[in-house]
Amino acid sequence: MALCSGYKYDKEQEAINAINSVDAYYGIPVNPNDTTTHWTIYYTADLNIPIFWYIWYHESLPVVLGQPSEFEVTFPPPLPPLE
Amino acid sequence: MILAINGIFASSMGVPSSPLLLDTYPNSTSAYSLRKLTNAYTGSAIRVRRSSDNAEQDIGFVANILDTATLLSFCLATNGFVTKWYSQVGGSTFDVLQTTAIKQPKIVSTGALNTLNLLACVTYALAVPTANSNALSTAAGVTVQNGQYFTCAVAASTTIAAGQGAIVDQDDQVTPSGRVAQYLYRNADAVRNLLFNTTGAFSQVSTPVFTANTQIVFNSSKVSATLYAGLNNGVNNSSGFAGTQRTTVVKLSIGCGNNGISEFWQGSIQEAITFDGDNSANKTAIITNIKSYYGIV
Repeated sequence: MALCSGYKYDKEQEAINAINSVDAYYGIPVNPNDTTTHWTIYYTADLNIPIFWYIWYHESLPVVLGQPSEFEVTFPPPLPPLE
Repeated sequence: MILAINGIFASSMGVPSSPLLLDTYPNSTSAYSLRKLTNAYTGSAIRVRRSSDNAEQDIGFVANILDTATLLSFCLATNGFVTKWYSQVGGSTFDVLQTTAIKQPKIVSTGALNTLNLLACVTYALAVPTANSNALSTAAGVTVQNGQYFTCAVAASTTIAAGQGAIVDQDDQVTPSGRVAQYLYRNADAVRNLLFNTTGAFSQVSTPVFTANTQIVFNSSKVSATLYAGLNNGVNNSSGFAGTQRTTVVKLSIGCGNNGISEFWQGSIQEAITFDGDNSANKTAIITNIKSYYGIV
């Protein structure tokens, strides 16, 4: 479990809509053949119950998505250290 | 200064050798650089997004070095981010790219070229949260070696703190079978070469140690059943590799591990080349060529 600062969505489509809003604000992609397809990405908290979708905070996002919130995300157990 | 090795003229600083490095040593399977490495390659060096309007443009070579005039003109006194670093060998499947804008490493900062020892470099920064850090990976799985390899990269790390950072990685860390190799890593202040076998166990060599903020030719190799790691043309430390090497086809990453999810490089990278096979006989000459071009003492 980790505390995440960002944007949390109960439905995946809401996260997709948020990504699309940010892309539209920043004009991404400028051309269809550009490498850059999105400004930011969303993640799935599929170990949380109920499942949700989220976007990590970035300084460029509040202008589009508003102020971030804090929420807990369950991550898979860490891989054995390769020390 | 120009050095001659086995009759081949190596580079002087900022001037690529003739013939070019990979024309002399052609068994490279992936090659990313801000200088031209082989005359057979006719494509661009990098693709760049400028922050002023997010437009992208390919940036090629002039006189076998990065066309910085076009790069700086394109970036219009703003920032330039690398969206794709073209591999000069192997075709487009070996290009490493980043489709998410906020995760793209930077090459131009407020109109100024990012440099390391006077030559252009790609700068990787650790973000908060770390998930937003810079990363470049191939779009799909690739094979860069078939049991033996030599990997070398010109880079500088801004940190030697506890933790890992990848320069060249082929370890997806998601599926057990996808864990293939961490060819060139920083493990705190040590260079690390780590390879998995088919049982999921790994062998590694995690020395020698390096100094932060210092331009170095990090290098690693596997010859027969021995792993090596070294800095510049210094002593190569070694360790045995146990078991049968994995051959899973997974993504190759430059400047990050885990397909761009963790183990982010913090610092600069100017060149990263992987050779297939036993390159022991050429290793010193290859590193000498690289050191000469980049002015590494």
